[in-house]
Amino acid sequence: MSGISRRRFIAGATALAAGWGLSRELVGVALSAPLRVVEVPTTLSQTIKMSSQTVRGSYRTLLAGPGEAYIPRFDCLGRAASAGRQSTRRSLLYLAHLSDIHIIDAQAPARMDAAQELAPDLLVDACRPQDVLTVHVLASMVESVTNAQTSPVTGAPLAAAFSTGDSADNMSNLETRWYIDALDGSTITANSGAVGSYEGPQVWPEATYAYHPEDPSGDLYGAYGFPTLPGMLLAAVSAPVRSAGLPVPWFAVYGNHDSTYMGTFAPDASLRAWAVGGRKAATSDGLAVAWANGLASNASALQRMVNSVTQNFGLLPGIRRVTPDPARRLLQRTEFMEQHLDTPVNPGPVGHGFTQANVDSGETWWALDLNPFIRVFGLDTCNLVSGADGAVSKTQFDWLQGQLAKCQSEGKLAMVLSHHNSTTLENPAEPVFGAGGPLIHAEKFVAMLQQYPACIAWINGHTHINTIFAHRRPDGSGGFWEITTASCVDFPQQQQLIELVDNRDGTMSIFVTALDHAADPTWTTGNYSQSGLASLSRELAANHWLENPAMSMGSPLDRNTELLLPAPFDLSTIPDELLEAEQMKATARLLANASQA
Amino acid sequence: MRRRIAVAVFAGAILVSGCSQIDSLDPGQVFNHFPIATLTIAVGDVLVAESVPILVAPTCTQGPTSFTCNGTTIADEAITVSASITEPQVMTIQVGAQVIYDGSVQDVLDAASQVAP
Repeated sequence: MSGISRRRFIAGATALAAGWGLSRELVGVALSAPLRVVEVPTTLSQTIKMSSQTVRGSYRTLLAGPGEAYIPRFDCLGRAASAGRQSTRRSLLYLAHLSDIHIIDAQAPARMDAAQELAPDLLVDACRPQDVLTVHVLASMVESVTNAQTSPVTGAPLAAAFSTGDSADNMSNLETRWYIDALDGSTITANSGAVGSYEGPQVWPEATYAYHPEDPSGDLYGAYGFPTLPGMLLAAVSAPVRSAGLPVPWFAVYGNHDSTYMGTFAPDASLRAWAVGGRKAATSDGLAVAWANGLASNASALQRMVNSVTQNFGLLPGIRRVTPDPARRLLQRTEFMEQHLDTPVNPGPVGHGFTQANVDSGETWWALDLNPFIRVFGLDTCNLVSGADGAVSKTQFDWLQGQLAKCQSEGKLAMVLSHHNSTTLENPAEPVFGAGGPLIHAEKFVAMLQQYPACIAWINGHTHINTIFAHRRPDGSGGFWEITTASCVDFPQQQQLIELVDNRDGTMSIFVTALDHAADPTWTTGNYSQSGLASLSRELAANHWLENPAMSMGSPLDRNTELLLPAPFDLSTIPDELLEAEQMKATARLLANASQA
Repeated sequence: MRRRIAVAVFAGAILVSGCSQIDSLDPGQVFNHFPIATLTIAVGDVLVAESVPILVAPTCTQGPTSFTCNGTTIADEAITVSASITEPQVMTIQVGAQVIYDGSVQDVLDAASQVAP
């Protein structure tokens, strides 16, 4: 600690020790040590790649590959940077970015698995081979974030984490709860309906569009070379998954899958009833008829009665009986926020960005100060009318513009979080009746952000592809970086570490580090342990050829990068003392978390 | 008949739904079933593999008959990419006057995502 006085250091350490219930000596020793870069397990030291040789048909296993060093990107700076910055830089904030976790209750009736039969090369995410393993992957990603709790660039402590939407896959109460509980720390059995049994297309022979781990010989995946995995489904839905929880406060925004049915439109009463019912479509035929009957059920009591009789007596082909579960109910719009308020104080904060005021007002976006010099804005870019892509409401746009102007005048750095990115912020669907105002799309949104140098980054997800874009101002005077992460559900199942750094030469850098989840790169046959199943999930995802998994990794320019830009204001106005005080708080929190673990 | 109608209506409904990569399948930007992002990624793979010192990474747009991408090097040389809209999926990457890659987009992606056992 160089900037902070001895007296303040002792007072701060004592207060933090008391606040977290730690010994003063332990905290004093930890906080007095200078920040030190130690090797933490990230893609800097090891990557995970597909084997260049197939093992069965077209199927490939995964292997550890060489690490990838940071690549400096100068697009927003407009010139090469000073080589001396490495010795002068100081950390402003170190964060984790999660997105598109897509926790899936794979046995839920109101899923569109069977739609994949109609267009397998288009509806690639209707029924993935690894659908039953999403909780295992999230627990493994939590472990990975915890392992990387000191920055690989500066040694700074992790201060916060963000989840930029699509945390649940189908706005289900159960999926939402599993995701929140896994990030907060809990033990979860990723099962619904019947206890200790999997009921769904992956065991139904007529569902040839699905991967059948017990015997894939009759499905598309068997033909590709997917393995026979006896007992895998049972292990996935039976064994409890333990997640230690993130070691830092985390904050969430809405994704389209958190707020609309299958990420596409608001559900009606029939869909809500279907979600908690006891019938599930096994084939596209059955799904289509059930869908049509569901639509009709809104109009006629007689139709509803006919539907009930035909369904209950098994007269609809392509429909299977499953164990109903009320916990599968689809959430109402504000219930997603309410679920985040039903959380423990640690890692916190209660609400994870949402407050009771959000629930009361229905405003689904928020702002917060991560420290005295960095403000973050969590937007809701989801379109409730139709379509998976997003837009920004005029109300939100105006609010954000006012907030960014304030950041500019107050000398605060600003980051914008949303689910959708600039390539998917083009949804034109507006409600025919009712309020909502005009929608703002990517071009106008980006132009607005470019007006405010204080806005240094837009962090998002949605496409499941690692992507980094430079949004340079037309006059060449800088701009901001757009950082999109891959997902937890599709290959490469990567998320990101992000660190803001003051280079103390009139520039700043945003370091982005791609983060694999902690499970072994190569799955060992028969390993159905918690981490084994997470490893298997990644391997299955890598072979989901319909997704073209080779592209979702992005290029090296989208992964481990140092993104430079001109400092938006004189960053020396941020005193070292203040930074160190913030880092002390973060270190004490991590110490407390480690001691509880 | 009723089932056929239901299937047809349903198929239409799901074709407007979806998420992940499908969302970015803007018909105007599809590169042989892949979004234009695929081309951008493959270009990035080649530039990094060839240690091209990039000042501005290429961004890609679609013209009437081809995709083009433009960027610059630290030495202010132009990075230009052209790729056909039609099959086969090939691209040509040039740095200044020198062609550094001329071949398949998917081959680049596959090579970048694989490692020998």
